[in-house]
Amino acid sequence: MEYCVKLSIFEGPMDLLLHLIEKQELDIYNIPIATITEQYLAYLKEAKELDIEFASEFLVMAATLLSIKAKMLFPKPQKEVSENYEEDPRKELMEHLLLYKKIKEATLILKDLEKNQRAKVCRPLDKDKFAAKLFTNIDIPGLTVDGLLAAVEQLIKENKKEFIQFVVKNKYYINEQIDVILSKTRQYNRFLFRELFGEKMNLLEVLVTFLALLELVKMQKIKVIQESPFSQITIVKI
Amino acid sequence: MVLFYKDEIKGILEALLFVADEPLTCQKISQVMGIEEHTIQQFIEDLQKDYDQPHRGLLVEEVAGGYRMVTKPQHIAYIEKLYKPQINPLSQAALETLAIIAYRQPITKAEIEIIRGVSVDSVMTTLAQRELIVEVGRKEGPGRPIMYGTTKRFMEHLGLKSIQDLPFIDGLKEK
Repeated sequence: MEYCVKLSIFEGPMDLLLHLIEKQELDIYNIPIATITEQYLAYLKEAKELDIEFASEFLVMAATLLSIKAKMLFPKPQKEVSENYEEDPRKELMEHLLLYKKIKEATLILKDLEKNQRAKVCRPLDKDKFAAKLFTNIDIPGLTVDGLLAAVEQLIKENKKEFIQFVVKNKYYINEQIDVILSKTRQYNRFLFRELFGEKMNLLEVLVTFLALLELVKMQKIKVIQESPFSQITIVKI
Repeated sequence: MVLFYKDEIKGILEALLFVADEPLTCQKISQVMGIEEHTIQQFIEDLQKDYDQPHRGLLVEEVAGGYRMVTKPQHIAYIEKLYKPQINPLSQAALETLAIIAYRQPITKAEIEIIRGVSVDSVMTTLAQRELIVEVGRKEGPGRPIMYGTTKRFMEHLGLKSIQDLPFIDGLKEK
């Protein structure tokens, strides 16, 4: 035997809270926080038992309620009560509920307006379709489909350019650049890194030279010294 | 200034309202017809009176700063019989979110979420897709969050002449 239990679905924790308050005609300005917390938690429990998934926001509200309840249970220090105005821990929740209640009112108004407006229908008009209908017959004297086709073909012919592809021969090799660097180390015991790169070098040449340099460092033929970041790099023969 | 017979003006006006796919402003009609705006206003009122007769199925309504021709609300049952309604009414969550935006615009998503107490991501997407809300700027402050407001479509959807036409709810508009 299956039981069917109908549980109202709420838009969110505020919705549920407002419902609980209004159902029992409680005073928003003086919410009995213990009662309402108990009922709120009871609803969550019921929902959980029925396997209704509810958003984590419902739990946040439960925590807020419990925190307010705790604040109200704590005895207040005598001093503060007499000297300062003690703010009601329920104040923020109360203001929030009042605002939410007004939003509910506004929602009802919008719903009503929507309902009224839905009873009136205006023509759904497809502008493009309409324009196409108005301007279908474009008549240009002397123009035929064949003529148009010929003109297009002529245009393509005129614009056809010879397409040549260039293949660039690889001019730089790591082992060649290694030789270049080695011959330089034979000439000078130490020299600046940037002397390896002439002004007219292209990117590929710079790259290959750099790789050659790294290769020589690995082979322990040279040493690279830099005193501080961004300063000149010196290459020393080992 | 073009000279028309009175009936002719009304005829042209009716034709324009018939083809328009959005509310026509007096200014727009004035540009198209070459007649002064206040004259058009008079003729629209005249046309509205004509449509008031029970043997006419249409009416000219003032909405979103303009005028458009719609069917009379009492005939909706027959229209729905002819065509299944194409636009679904908004869900409770969407209406609630829309109410918050309408009364407190410009407003950020975070501010809406605080009021509703739940996430509004999917609802906002729906409202934006239906062109009922739009980004209207960014709020000064950390993260410069996007602020949202309602659109002309929103006014059309609810049959509002302007945004001031929203019913007054005490204490809802000021922040």
